[in-house]
Amino acid sequence: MSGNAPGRPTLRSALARVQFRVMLLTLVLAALGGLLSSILVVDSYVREELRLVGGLASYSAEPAIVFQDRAAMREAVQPLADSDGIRAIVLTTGDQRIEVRHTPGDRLIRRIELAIAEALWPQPAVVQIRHGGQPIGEARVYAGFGNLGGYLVVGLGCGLACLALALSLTYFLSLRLQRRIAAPLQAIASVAHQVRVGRALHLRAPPAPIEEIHTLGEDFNALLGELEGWQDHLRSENAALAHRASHDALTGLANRAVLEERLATAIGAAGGAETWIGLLYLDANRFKRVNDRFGHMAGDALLREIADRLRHCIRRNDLAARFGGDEFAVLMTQASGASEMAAIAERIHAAMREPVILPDGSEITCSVSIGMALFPRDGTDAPALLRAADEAMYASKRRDGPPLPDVVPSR
Amino acid sequence: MWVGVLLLLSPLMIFAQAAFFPVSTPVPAGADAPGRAIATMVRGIISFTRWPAQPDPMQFCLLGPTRMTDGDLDTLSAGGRGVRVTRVPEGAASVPASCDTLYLGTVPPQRLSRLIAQGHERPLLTIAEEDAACRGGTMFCLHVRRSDISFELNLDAVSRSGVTVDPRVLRLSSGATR
Repeated sequence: MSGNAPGRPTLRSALARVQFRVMLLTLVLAALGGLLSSILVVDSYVREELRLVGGLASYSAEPAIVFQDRAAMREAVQPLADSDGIRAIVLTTGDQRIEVRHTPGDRLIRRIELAIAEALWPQPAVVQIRHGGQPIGEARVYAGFGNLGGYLVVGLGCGLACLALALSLTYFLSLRLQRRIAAPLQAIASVAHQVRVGRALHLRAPPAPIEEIHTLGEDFNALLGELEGWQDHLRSENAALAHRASHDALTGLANRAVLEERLATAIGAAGGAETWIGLLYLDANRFKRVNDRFGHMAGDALLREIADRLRHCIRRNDLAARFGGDEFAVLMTQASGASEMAAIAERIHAAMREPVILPDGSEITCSVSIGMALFPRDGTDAPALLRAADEAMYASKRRDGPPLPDVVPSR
Repeated sequence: MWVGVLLLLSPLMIFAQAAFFPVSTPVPAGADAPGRAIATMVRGIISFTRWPAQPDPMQFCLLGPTRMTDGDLDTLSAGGRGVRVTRVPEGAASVPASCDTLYLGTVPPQRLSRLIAQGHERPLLTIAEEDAACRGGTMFCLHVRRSDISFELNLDAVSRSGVTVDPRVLRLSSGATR
């Protein structure tokens, strides 16, 4: 994921960490419980063993005590003290005391074990020796280390094995969580990122296996859908506004500002090259009278009709514009010369000769006056060209002589 | 926990390896006669002997001169069990039927053998004070030395006697290994 600040964990590592801690805590608690119970069990076994050994010592030593044979007493309990589980056995009878100790051998570890056993179980098990119902002595048995070392090693090994198991389980569980939680979340985050960077509002988060994440993704998708709708709406609104700003509402032709801008651009692009740019200036003759006589609705209809015919007469790359009132203009950016312009002007004249049917059914004929200007012949910038075209148009209007009867009623 | 079981079993295994060793009851220094030590050993032997029907009091029949004094003989019943000491006349032809224990003091071996060979209708514990070779047919033969006393066991006599002797005592016998 991008934007991952240093020191901030990823979802997967956070999940893995939590999981590992829980597992470790469980392990430690279980180990503590196991340790406590095993300490209790071992302790109880050791005490039980001491009592058993005491009973054995008492049983073995009983005849020797009866016969007052010290050597036999020692012999009777010596085998018992050879066990690692026994530190010492002390027999007392009357004023006699016989002590048999476990010999730890030369190894240091055995002595350490005996010292530990002495610290762990300082008190002996005391068993009374009876003969014929009468107490004749006591056997005291002191605990040794026994197989506690092996037990500790096994326990430690089991603990380490459990730890390793917990670690590997954490790894696999976090992989699983990654698949089920982190990956879907990352998918959503990645979509959000692409939306932010690339405005890719059409992207959608994929379905997730977990309900909450799935709902999150669905809501996110719904939000994206709404954003997309808003964006489309804004775009169309912007387009409408732009069209309204650059076009004439009545005829749908470009307005004066657009034409002047396009003209300036074309002049700029032409530079010193051998390119002709033509400009036609049109004016409907006696339009005011149509307005006065047939009303503004009729005037508007006439203007729309003029615009339509104009649109049909010009070439595809030419731009027709309405300058306001009954004035129109045509920009020809790829004019091959004055003759072509003249031909188009003639075509326009011809188109205008067709009668126009007004909304009320009356039929009128409306002529136009056309002035031409050619870049660079008549001007090298937009205002000069416009002025030249305008003057040419007025010149043409004057030259065409007295205006025709403004209206020719069809019936 | 399994370690605990091992700890439990270990002394039993060691007990199975126990060796035989002869008993020796010390004779206290300075004592002129070893009578007290003999009495201690006899009392021990009696206490480790089981009759099919435990006699109470137990009839302790004494034949021939012994190194035990009357005071020593009185200590025989100190172990809690009642012991009645009866002296069998020197010339008796057979062991009185009421005897539970026959203690033979200084009796010639031939006489001893004859007495034992006659048999006895009741279970009888037999102890000989002076039978170094232990050929007379008594169950226990005491070996009285200057410093200590030990005993030897005649297993044939034990098996014929009708009484049972605690196996721990058999292990203490100096003759058990023979």
